[in-house]
Amino acid sequence: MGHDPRPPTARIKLAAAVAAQLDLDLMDSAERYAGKRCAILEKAGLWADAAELVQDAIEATLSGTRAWDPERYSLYHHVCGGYRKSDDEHAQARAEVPARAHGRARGARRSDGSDRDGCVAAPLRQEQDDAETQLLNAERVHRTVSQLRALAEEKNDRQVLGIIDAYGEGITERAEVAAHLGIGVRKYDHARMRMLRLASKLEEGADDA
Amino acid sequence: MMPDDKKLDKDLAILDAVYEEAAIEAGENARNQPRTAERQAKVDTMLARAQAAVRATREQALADAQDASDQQAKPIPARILGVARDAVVARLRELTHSAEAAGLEPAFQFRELDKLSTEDLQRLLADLEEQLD
Repeated sequence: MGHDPRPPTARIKLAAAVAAQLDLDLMDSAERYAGKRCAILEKAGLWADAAELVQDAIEATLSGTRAWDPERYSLYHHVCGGYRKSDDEHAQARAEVPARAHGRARGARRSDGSDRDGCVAAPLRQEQDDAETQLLNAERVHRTVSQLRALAEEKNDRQVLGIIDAYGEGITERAEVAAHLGIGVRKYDHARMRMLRLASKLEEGADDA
Repeated sequence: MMPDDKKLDKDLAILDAVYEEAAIEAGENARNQPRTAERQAKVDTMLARAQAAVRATREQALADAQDASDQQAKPIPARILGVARDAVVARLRELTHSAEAAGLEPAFQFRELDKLSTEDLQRLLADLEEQLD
């Protein structure tokens, strides 16, 4: 292990802050959160272990690789980015787990081996170098989104279709999506839950297959 | 047929956002769900690993703090302070051989001596002499 340039007192303080918030509930929530994030990797033909992602995020926090300000964010929000309840955290905390998952999912189709987020593991890089695998993964992503749309169309749910379209345009903030659809945030919340039920149905279908 | 790059970017953005929402929901609802024995065991293991990482971080920091404190607190004895670098190195090698012969493990290796300052070598010699005393 190399020399850690951070003052020992700062490291001791950080370790104490992490220890103070680590408990079974946090680990359970973080693992469930990461598990869902891992699902996007599976849809892209890749694989990651949720528990490992959480452990990596905690270790990155302790090592200082991912700076954490305990005064501003809870450890859960920092590690996972499950921040819907707080606008401030939503706007500012981008967490390790989603960044890694996103980086890996995008990495699935890259041909140059580059990794914007610095988190695509070496074995996955090898996988993406395989043109046939890239093609397969891109098709899987496309098929999943098409199936989600098809389910919403089957129910003639215009609001869910609108949410999907908004996401495709990079609009993901609650208030912004609602405004984009021309509905209130409460209606958006209901539509969002319907969309999640459809996504869950899609996952169940994939499990059955 | 392979979807084009723009289309794929869009699909990935959609999938990413849908799973982000699903993940937030799953994380927030975890506290309301009873844990099965299998789940409890998994979470227990995760917590133990995370706590071990915290302990390791803390112990390393404490050790570093102690080292820094020792370096500052302990003055180099006057009898060693004036000794030239080459002579300090020679004495260190000699004492290390004696320590090894006595079945002790030296806390450093010869190849690392070049990287140390003369002052650090003098401290090392003082420590070693103290240990072997």
